[in-house]
Amino acid sequence: IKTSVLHDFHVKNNAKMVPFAGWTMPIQYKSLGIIDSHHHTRNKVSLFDVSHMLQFKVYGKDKESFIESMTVCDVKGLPENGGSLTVFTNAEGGIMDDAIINQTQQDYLYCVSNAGCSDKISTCLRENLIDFTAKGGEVVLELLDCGLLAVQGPKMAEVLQTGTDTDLSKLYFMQNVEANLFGVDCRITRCGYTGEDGVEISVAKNRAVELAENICSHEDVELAGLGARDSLRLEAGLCLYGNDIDEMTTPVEAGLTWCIGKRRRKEKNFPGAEKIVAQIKSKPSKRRSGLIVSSAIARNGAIVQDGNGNEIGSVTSGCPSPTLSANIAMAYLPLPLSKVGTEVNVLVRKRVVSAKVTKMPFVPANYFMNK
Amino acid sequence: MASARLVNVVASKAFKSIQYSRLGFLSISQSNGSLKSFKPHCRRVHTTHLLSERLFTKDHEWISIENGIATFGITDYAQEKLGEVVFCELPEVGVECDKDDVVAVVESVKAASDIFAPVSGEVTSANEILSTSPGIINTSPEDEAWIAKIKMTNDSDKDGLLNESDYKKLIVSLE
Repeated sequence: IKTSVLHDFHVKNNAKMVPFAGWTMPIQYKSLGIIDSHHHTRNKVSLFDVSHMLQFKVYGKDKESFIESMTVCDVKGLPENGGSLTVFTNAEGGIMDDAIINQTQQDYLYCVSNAGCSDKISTCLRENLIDFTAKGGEVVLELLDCGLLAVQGPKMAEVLQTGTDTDLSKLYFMQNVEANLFGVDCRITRCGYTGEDGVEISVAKNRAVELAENICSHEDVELAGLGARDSLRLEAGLCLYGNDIDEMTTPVEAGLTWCIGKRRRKEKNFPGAEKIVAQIKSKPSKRRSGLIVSSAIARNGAIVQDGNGNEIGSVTSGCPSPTLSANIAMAYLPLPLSKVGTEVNVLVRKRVVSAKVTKMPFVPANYFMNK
Repeated sequence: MASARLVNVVASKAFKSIQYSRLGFLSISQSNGSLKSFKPHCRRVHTTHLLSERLFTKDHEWISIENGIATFGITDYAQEKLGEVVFCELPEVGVECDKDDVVAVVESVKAASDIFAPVSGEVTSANEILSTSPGIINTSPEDEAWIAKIKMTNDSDKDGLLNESDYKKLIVSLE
């Protein structure tokens, strides 16, 4: 079991630690329950340790082609300092992992993918690297061993601006910059997994605790763990790999067609391209949909039925939404039944509970967009 | 599936500092025979509970039996492990249950936990307050947040239950 560079810091701050994706990470901190932590993130700002995620850099003149050979991303089209959410696909068009690929001003791509898939994606990168370089491609891959802190919430910019000369009002959603924050060199990417304005900060291990302590010293900042992280991302309509997307779901079914660059659809030069492009044209048979469930909490695995008791899908993620005071869930539903407003039923512990298809995100996002 | 027995709720070293002292134990002042009342976190003990010894299950339920009626809920140890309770599904009054049947469900933010009938019998009442205020399970698990009462059909069911000292030993062994 792996421990984060911030492990002792978590324990010192009374974290409740749980195993997750081969790591021991905080689910919450004693001082604040999961629900209060969730509200605090939407109202003020929270600090999450996400150092368990896989971070890597890709160098070389063919770095964009290299990443494009495994993902649906239009890497070559990324603006300088800009990034995008994308997916790694398999030969059947299924999703191997979702990731954020960033173009930087430092002549490498900076990428972040999920902790749960780190072995799988590291292997995929290494194997593809061998093939790619054998064919003459110039690429160097560097798997990073450093900390990653997420600072999420409306007060993020106000808090972090006090510690840096970098003008955060010019760093827009999905942009990244090398900066010095509270005396610590780091890379700041304006993105996150909560739907709020926020950043993820990549920092050397030997400075991670110092940076976390500096950020936490601000009275508006509370530490938050995986418990709040999950309810926040679900309200934001964001997928959790392993629950909402996996090797058996295509990005089209998952509602992630927007991640597939137009040029990429034409060139069809990513794994599973034939199937995925065909599905874009002919429409997928099922689609990831949001549900508001009436009188019970529907969780992963709960069967969804139509009005006649026929099984039509199952819930992939669900939880009580602290912001909405309602039970929200995601499920894959047949396309005709995935229209907003459709009424379906969900089986929760053998009881039939009514639910309604709802637009996602359940809670509107507050990303810092360039108008 | 998210539904899980309380015994499978994730435990970790971080919990070790709080449980044992929190459970406390009944203390009667010997000198004047009166109940020495004290309020450790979450545990107010009424006089009536003195008369019937409190028993426990290995699934972290407490039971108080009087005149053949078993009142039960989950222990402080259990609520601490569960985290914030957001929902409680109570049994229906009048329902017959066998010992170890799933008789209620307590849901935290992260997962649903089955609650097992500690004894066989008929559910005579369910604590409706938990439908509107499930959070009482966290603040008063062993007193205000009783879950239901069962009229026992089999008096010997109580023989399989743990006494307070054995339950305390169980908790210590789990840390």
